[in-house]
Amino acid sequence: MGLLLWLENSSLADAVRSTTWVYPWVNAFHSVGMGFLVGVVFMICLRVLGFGRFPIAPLEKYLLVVRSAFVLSLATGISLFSAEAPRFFFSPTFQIKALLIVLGGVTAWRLFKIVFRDGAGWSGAGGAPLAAKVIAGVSLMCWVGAIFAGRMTAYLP
Amino acid sequence: MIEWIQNTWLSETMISLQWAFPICEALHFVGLCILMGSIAVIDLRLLGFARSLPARVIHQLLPWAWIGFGLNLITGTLFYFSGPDFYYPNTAFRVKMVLILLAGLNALWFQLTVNRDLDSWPDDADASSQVKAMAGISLGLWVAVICFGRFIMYWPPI
Repeated sequence: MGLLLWLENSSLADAVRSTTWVYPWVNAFHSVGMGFLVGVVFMICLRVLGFGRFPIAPLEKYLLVVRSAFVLSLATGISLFSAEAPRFFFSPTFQIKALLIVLGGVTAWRLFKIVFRDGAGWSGAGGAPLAAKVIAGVSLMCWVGAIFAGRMTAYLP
Repeated sequence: MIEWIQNTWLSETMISLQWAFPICEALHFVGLCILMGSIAVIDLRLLGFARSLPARVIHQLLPWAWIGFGLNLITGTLFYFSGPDFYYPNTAFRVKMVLILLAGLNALWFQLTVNRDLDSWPDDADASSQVKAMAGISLGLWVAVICFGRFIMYWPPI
């Protein structure tokens, strides 16, 4: 609790809260980060699940986009969190969102390891192995769940 | 027009169902990710970022952009019906609509001039500077659409 209050009283939190334009801009960049991060993860997961029949190995380049968007989302997320640290920390929907992001991140990372090691051989009729498809499906659902939980955080006390 | 919308069944339902608006918002975000993800992969490929991805793959990615856009057109229309008197005069909303129109015209231009030729491109083809400009404009416009979408709720600035 001490840490949360320290964060809420920090100059970062002050800046995010007090100016009329900082909060909307940080919020906008959080959404842009989400669009690129979750969006590119979606495209890789959907391809693994069998939507589209194109070589999957070249998508490895886009991990740079995923990583950059993650850093942007995390930095803006921490700024937004700091503005009302205790409220977010104790909000059940925020806790669920954080958990789903960790799960979505770990599964996506695991999927990328498999896809960009073995994926070059998947362009045939068989497509990706079942294990990779399961991980892709779970990751996809975690990110959709994180979006829903994130939105509900704005509405539930 | 605003009064007519406010008297529709859809408008009354959006207001009376407490969870309709938040659920539509979450779906709007999911649609945003699907649209932005496919656009990012396509436009960055055209800009030369991942030339090992054959350009003709764009044909298989474009349907996702349409699915994301369709989902957001539906949920976005539902937002508008929930409060036309709020959205209609909202400057951020108006700017967002203009940006979407510009992004649509840019996509149409791509569709008419480049899209059907993609199959004849060599796998690792470098796009012309005209096509790169289209891709860059597309990426910039969609990022701006997301930002102005976010500004709607904070408009007018206090």
